[in-house]
Amino acid sequence: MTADAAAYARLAAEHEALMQFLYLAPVGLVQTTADGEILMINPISAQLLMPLQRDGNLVNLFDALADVAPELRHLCATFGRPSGMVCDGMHIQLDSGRTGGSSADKRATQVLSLSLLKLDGTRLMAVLSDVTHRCVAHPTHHDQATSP
Amino acid sequence: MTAPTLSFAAPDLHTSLAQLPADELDRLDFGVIGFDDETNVCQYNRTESEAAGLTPPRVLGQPLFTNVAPCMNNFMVAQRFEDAQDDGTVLDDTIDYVLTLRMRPLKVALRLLAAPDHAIRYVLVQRKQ
Repeated sequence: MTADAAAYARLAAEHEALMQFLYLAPVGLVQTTADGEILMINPISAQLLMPLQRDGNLVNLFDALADVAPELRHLCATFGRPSGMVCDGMHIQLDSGRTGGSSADKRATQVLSLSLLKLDGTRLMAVLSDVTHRCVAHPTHHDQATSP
Repeated sequence: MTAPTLSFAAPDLHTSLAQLPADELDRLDFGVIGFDDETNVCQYNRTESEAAGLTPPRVLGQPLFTNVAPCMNNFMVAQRFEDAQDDGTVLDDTIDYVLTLRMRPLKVALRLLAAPDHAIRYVLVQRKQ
């Protein structure tokens, strides 16, 4: 194998490892435009958001969460700073029957945690996770939001 | 029937796939992920490997819904297989879905195949773009 071929093989292996690292991340990561259009998304995000999407067309984060967190678009639009946390660990309660997971889970209300970071004037980064079981264990936990 | 003539929507596709050798699975123009009764991946064809950017050694033997395709670990996909296995029923359904291959949202059709008389269950992936 030539030096170039070896370097290419090493880069390809590193790229594949990085790809798998992102595939396996146990939290949802989504990068969107300022309007919520999804630019990049990892598998856990799709796992959590697809059951909310009536038309199976997951293209906009704000649209995907419109029924359960309708204030999000406005929250981002009115965020005054050029960058920073729009919300940090905001709890979003889903209707029973919309949730993923097992049949037993479906009977319970699912709770998602959403953190939204404004990267700049054109991009947002969201972190999503399922905190249903944490909420059951700690029912007094309150939602948090960072004021703009 | 030869591999290239097998289409994503072909009837009785589960039986045809179960009889195909690995090299012919690789020639299919749709993604094939086969998994066993423990949900560990045992077949991963070239179309799926190239779309996901993962080579078979990283995927084969791994649990499908937690380590390979966690985006399908919800009631729309994983639960359908679990229910079919618990009830001993045949599953052959096609649904619209969005996968996150290479971290880009991609519209696909998923065909879900399971049957009590087949050891291997399948998720088939047809890209729409």
